[in-house]
Amino acid sequence: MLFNSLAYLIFLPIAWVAFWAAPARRRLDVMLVASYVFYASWSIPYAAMIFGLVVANYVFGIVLGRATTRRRALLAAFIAVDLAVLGVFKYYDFFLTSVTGAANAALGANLQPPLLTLVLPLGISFFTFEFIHYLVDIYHGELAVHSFTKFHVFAAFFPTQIAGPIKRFQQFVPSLASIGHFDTVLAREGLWLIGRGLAKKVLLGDRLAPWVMDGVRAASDGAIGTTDAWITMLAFALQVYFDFSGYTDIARGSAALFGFRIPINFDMPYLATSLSDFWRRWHISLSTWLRDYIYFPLGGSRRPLPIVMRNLFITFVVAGLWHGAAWHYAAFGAMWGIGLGLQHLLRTLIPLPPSRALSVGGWLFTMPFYLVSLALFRCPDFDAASVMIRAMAGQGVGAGTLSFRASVFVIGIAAALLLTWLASRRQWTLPVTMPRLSPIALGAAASAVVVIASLAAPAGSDAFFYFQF
Amino acid sequence: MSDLGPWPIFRNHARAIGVALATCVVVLMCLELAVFRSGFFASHVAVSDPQWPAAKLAIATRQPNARVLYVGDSTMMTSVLPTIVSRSCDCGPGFNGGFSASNPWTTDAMTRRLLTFMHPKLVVISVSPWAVDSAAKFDSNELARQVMSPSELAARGAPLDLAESIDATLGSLWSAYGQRELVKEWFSALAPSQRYDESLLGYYVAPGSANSYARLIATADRLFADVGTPTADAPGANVIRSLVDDLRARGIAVAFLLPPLHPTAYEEAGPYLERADVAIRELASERSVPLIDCRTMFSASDFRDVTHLVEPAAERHSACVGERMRAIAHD
Repeated sequence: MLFNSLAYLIFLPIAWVAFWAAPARRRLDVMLVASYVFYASWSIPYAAMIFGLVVANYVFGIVLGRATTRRRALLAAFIAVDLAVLGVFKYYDFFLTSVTGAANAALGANLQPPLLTLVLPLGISFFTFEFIHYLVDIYHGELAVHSFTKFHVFAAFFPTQIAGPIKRFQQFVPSLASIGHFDTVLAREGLWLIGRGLAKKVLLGDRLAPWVMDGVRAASDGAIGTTDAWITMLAFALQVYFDFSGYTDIARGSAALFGFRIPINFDMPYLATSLSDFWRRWHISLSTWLRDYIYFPLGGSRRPLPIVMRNLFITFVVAGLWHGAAWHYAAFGAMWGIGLGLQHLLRTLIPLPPSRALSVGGWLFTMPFYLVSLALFRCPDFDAASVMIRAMAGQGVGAGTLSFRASVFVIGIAAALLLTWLASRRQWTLPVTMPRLSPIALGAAASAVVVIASLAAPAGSDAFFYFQF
Repeated sequence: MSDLGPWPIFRNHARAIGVALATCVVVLMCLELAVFRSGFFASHVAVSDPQWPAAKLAIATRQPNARVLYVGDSTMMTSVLPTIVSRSCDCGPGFNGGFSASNPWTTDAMTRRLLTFMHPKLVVISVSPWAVDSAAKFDSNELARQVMSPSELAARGAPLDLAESIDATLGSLWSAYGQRELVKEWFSALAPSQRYDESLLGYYVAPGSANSYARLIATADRLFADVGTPTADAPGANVIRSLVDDLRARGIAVAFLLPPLHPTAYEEAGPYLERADVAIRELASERSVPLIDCRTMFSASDFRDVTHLVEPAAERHSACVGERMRAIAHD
């Protein structure tokens, strides 16, 4: 069930009414039923599998919390179970194809790998990371969640089920205590977030998608002009931001309607003034997860310089592979790992005090770096990415893949987004106060919202980009 | 745990909520009646991109006097300027109803939709090689849903599922939803210099070009990747056959147009295209449909990409089509 579908438009109010109509002690049960209806609308067998994983990790948590010996081994075993499930669905075919491909190339053989070709369960990467976070934190002394229902809601919560944000149980589970009381302010904020998210997704993200496809197809065909390549990657940067942050807004808004607060996932990422600053602002729940559960355990930045650079590289290759089981995703992560490593090296060798010039210079480096890395992320294979990157480096072929109108639109949207963020950061706000509306004016305003929502509805069912991860 | 839901808020403001809801419904009904049901929208809607069927239908409603109708896929849309053909053949005003990615099924549906308000004396059907491919079959995609009613889709073996049926019903009741893509297209057309020039009567070539050698090869490979065997008995050929019969039953003359393709297409799929040519000629001969073939006059530089001509070449092609049509009329 997509957030931008008619089905969700029907599902959400029904779930909301059922949730608040139930006695407070039954609301978590209602939320669970709603969550499984939401997931099962896509696949009943996979919903059952998610249930199995929830039960397993609940038991793992209890066992790990009570264990006094061999805790490290238990943790490793439990994480291995979660990773094995992820591996079977997401990485098995990729691994086998890569190995047999290499063997065929080396030996001149024609081995055919026994592929599983399984459909990737929606949200499995997000589920797995939440489970790992839960187990690792219990290992480090946090108390396991003893209420199965509470743990179950944490794991299966429908607003964040498919594409995050990746939650932390220390923040989420205590908030379950507040669902007895309807918070009008939070609900209003939720409606605003849902509207904003839909607008980002449908009015902006989806409108950019065809131009991105045109550009990527040109690169896949082997020829794209330099300007077209830059505009295509800029369009994709905007598309993926509007799509994913729009999804996150709807997820956070939907959660708020039920009284749950979900942390932000984006903080004006395209104002980042360095590579590391970018990851503090982009997909925050993933980058903090990677920091806490991969980078820090590897030693973080309190190690000798080469070790820190190695840690950054490993962390970001994992980040790349988390996005998809393909070498171009790994290359995307490796590019960021190398970039961040070199940035760390430079900062260590030449420590400069913060200044406006440094920030501007950093932004001017970070954004092109990001756009070039997106070529690795978005293009379907290395050949297409290499055509795109060569074109971005000035070796483009031909022109006219994107129309003048498309280019103006993309640049205009980018400029408007940056100006809006700058204005927001400097707290430039219009001195407008919302008047208290009469019921008739409220009805007229509601009709305007219905018209806008009707027009904004997608023609088909354009899935959110991050659903594939 | 306390048990305070949102219901006290609704109870305390029941009257105000009722008035607001009633106002909302009344405003929406007025909008539906005044803008959509009155015909205001249909008579005023402009488009920026006429490549898709709903947009093509919208601009076609303002050309009810067309005497020659050109239908087919984008090869038709980008290669025939009705004004130039009309000048050459002296056969009255025309309208180009071709649209991107059309196939025999959607061309058939589009023709029937156009004939509900147009009364041409001649229909020219562009028959691409893919139209007579044995592997081509009806695909119930978004384009098909724009030109075919639910009953037509069901007749083609692709009935709407429950969600699609609800969506279609909602769209027929509430036009701002049902015609949202057209409304958005109208908004796009309001931007400076973005409005499609309707004096071109349906002719359109997308700006830019994709004729670098690498792209031509890749596009040609894609176009001929999953093809079957061209034959006059292909499912698509049967659809064209029945369309021809139906048009003639209505007293409308029919001609086939063989669209020009980039030389790269012949390099990549020469034997296939030769067989397709034979199949199309067999189909035309069987139904005694005259063929319009101006393909020999073009070189590689006349193409925007593998399947579409640039505008100067389309003008020459249109003049040639007009001459052939004049000859056919004299025969």
